[in-house]
Amino acid sequence: MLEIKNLTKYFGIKKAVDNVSFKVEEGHILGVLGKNGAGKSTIFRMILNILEPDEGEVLYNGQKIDHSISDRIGYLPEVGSLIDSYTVYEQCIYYGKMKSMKSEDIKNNMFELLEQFGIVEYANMKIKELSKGNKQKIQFIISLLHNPDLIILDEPFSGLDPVSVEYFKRIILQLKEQGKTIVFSSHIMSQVEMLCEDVLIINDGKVVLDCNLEQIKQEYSSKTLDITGIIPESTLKQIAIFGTIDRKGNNRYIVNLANKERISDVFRLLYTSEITKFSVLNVSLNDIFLDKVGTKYEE
Amino acid sequence: MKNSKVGAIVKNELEKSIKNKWFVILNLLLLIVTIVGLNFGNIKALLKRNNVDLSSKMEIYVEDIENIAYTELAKEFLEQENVTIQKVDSIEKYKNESLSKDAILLKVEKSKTEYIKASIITKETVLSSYLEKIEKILTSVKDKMLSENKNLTKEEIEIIKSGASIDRVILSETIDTSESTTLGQLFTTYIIFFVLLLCLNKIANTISQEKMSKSIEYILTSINTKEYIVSKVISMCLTVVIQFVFMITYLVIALMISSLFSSAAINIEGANSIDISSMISLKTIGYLVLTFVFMCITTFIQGVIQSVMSAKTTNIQEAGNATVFLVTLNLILYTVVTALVSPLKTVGIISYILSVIPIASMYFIPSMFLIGQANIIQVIIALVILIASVPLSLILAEKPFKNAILDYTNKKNKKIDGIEKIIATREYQERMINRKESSKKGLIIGFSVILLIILQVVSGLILSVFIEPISQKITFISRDNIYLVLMCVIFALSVYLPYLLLKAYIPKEHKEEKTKEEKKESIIKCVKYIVLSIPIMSVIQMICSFAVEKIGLGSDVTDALGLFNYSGKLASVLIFVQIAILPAIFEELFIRKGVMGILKDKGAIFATIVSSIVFATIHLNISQFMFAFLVGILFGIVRTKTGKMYPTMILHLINNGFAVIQALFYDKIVFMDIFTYSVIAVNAVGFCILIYMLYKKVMELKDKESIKALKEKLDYRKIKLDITENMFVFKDYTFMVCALLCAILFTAVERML
Repeated sequence: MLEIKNLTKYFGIKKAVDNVSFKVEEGHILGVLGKNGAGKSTIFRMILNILEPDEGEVLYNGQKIDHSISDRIGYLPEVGSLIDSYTVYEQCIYYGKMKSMKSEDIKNNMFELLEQFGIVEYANMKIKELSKGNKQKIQFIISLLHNPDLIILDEPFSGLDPVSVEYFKRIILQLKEQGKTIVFSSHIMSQVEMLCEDVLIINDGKVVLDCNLEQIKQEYSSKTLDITGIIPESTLKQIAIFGTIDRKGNNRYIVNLANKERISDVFRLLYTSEITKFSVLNVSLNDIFLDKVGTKYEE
Repeated sequence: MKNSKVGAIVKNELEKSIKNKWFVILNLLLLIVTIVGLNFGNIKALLKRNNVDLSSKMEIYVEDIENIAYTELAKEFLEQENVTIQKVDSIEKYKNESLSKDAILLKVEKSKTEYIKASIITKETVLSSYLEKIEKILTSVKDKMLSENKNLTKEEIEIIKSGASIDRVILSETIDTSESTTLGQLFTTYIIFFVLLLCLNKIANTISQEKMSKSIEYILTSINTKEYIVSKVISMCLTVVIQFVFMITYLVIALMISSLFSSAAINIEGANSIDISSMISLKTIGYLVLTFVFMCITTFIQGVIQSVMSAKTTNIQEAGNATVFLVTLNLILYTVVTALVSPLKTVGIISYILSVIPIASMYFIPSMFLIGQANIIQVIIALVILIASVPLSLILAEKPFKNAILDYTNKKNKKIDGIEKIIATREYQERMINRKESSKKGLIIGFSVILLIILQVVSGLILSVFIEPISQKITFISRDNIYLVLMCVIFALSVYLPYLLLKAYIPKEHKEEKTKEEKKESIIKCVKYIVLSIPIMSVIQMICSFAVEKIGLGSDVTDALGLFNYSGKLASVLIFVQIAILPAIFEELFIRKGVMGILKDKGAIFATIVSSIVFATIHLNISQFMFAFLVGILFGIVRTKTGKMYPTMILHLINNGFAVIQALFYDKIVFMDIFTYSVIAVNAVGFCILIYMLYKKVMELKDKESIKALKEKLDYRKIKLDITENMFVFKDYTFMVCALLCAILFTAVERML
């Protein structure tokens, strides 16, 4: 279990990370969402003990993260960390050794992972000969090479084509099934929405939202109704007591209820009206972001 | 666990640096160089023997009145072909220029202290095998003499052990320096520099590479900073060790080949090869060991420093440049050592202090040890301090290293990124661009001035070397005239080439068609400015010569140029061309058109001041500096006001011509009188006009509105802003180099005067 407590980091006088706290349960996937420069990478670098936090601490299974347990952590840096002049194999050996692995294990794991991605032929190619997407794959492979318990992926999907994104997703979900804890960041909302159960939204170094995705969606969705039909004014007035009504077009209404127990009340009120559609809305993460931050999320 | 990681990095680095093709090529080259270098004499001799004359014989003349060793020598050498041995009464008569290259003069006498005293004289170096043979025979003779003597004391035994003392004299002045000992010493120095440079460069490259590729991000998650630095530096140190071992192997191979050569050359049965161990004394071994130990530790410390500096780099080109600091430091230390520590003088207190300071001790301790000026305690103290500074350097390096290596932004962007906010206005961004442009202009001007100075100085030096051979070939004009003509050409070229460089960057102007009247007007304007400038020039001249005299600087520069040494009409004309006409044309082109043209958009005042500074600088002596600066400002004003080149050219010609004429015709009294009076007359007329003009200007200023207009023109804030922006012209490093160069030349010229 990864626990982050009151993490703060200054760059000069700028507060890059401002009092960030969150928890990741074992076997969960946490998606960290934020714009470029929001402080995602800085948080990751502090988790990995590359940067030292000005305040706060990072605990993994109740233990402070240092180099003694870093062998159990896999990391995919955002910036790309492959050395051009090395071959893929040499690169794996170099980084694998950094995780105290034996050459034999590195070789086996590497080929296993290369096969999973279907890029075995790259094993002896030099890094500089690879495309950006393939480099990303190799980085991903390296972060999984030592079979870590905690995997931290900083922008894993950047530079990938949709097919490769699917590959990545599949493998991440497989890893989850194996009981690994995964933390990944993205600036693209839909990717976070698709993959993870827990979401952490960061804006200007501050945590804006930290919750379980399903839970919050239920929370939000259950309060919003989409109604189409001819509703008399008197009924509308009665509904307005339970929440706000947003009129969209002639016969369409979006009703935001203050309390979700009122859904049945509203339904009862509409009993006499000519209703063609009555649905409880499934809100997107973007709407939640809009609601929490006040501005629209821009990618 | 952690140590295995350090090991993994070291292993990885070592593999990378040794499997490298450049490592192989380098070592092959080193092997060849070592073998050829150490066997140079032998190879040369071998080639000579084969090519020139196979029947040429080695002649040995022996002066041995008491017949101490001749019989033995004759016995030995007469068996050989190609060698003749002859006994002579005195070798003195052979000791002259006609001595054959393949002749050895040997003088053997009895000596009270050493039993045998011998001297060998040859014209050039001869095959060492002959000399060794002679030495061997003489030693055996000496041994025999000693064994005949029955009363042996301890000292005598020691004398027995030592070889026969032989004075070695080489008559010919061109001494071949292929002696293995000097080469060996040179080699040690080169090895130190070569390996150190290689090592620092490698550290710089590998760290820079890891930073550029961002692989550091991954590695630092697995290993802590200190271990990372240690592993990187150790791997490089090991490369050094491996390289060192290789070098020693090469040396041994080369020595063995050398011994093979010598036995082949004499071609006697059972000839002994050189005993390698005898060539290296105990002291040399101590020197080598000390050098090795100190070098390893020092290289480690320097490696740590280097890694911090390389961590700051933001691109791979900078990584190479980052070694400059340490390499320069090492070069300085080496120079200091060669200056301070020599067998000829006692070592001073500075050397003792420096010998305990880390890094410096690498150079001082071994060389002081070699000449016997450092005892064991001193060596130990230095070593302890050196070893103690290893962990210290690591502790000090850790934090800056980590901060620097994770900082991917380059310095200029840093302010924008965090601390200062980006100003998103167009004006701000434009100002930034302007600053860069200004800096570029500074670069061009600075570079062109450096080019000019170097061209003048270097071509002058070349000319002074080659003037004699040239004048010997060209006989139809005198040496002086050739010299003057060449000086003219050099001067013109050395100013014109930098001008061409500047010209490429001058923004092009549109030339407007002018009517006849306008042309006439501009000519009148030019003439007016010329006439007005002459008296001002005279005043400046007077003030400056007074000031220079007061300060006590060198007198008239024209004196120093030695103008009076030349005689003849042609020479006078050439001097006039060189000192008056050429500067008037080319200096004006370079300064007023080139430098001022480039700085035109920075404002006329700024352009004038900078151009005057440059103008003063290129005169390369302090005496002329002030005068040139003030006149430069005057010329700058004339140039901006008239917008033409020729007025300043004429003024320059008048100024320089005046001095030359004074110098050339000082003995023609009538002419000089007329000349001086006419100059005074022109000055007087100019003064009158000047005063009249000033009067008119002052009268105009009394008008209140014009004062207001003038005040607006001289808006303090705007001027301040302009100045700060313009100062970016000087931000370029070439200006600093330029200033340094000029300062050195200033002092040099001042010494000459």
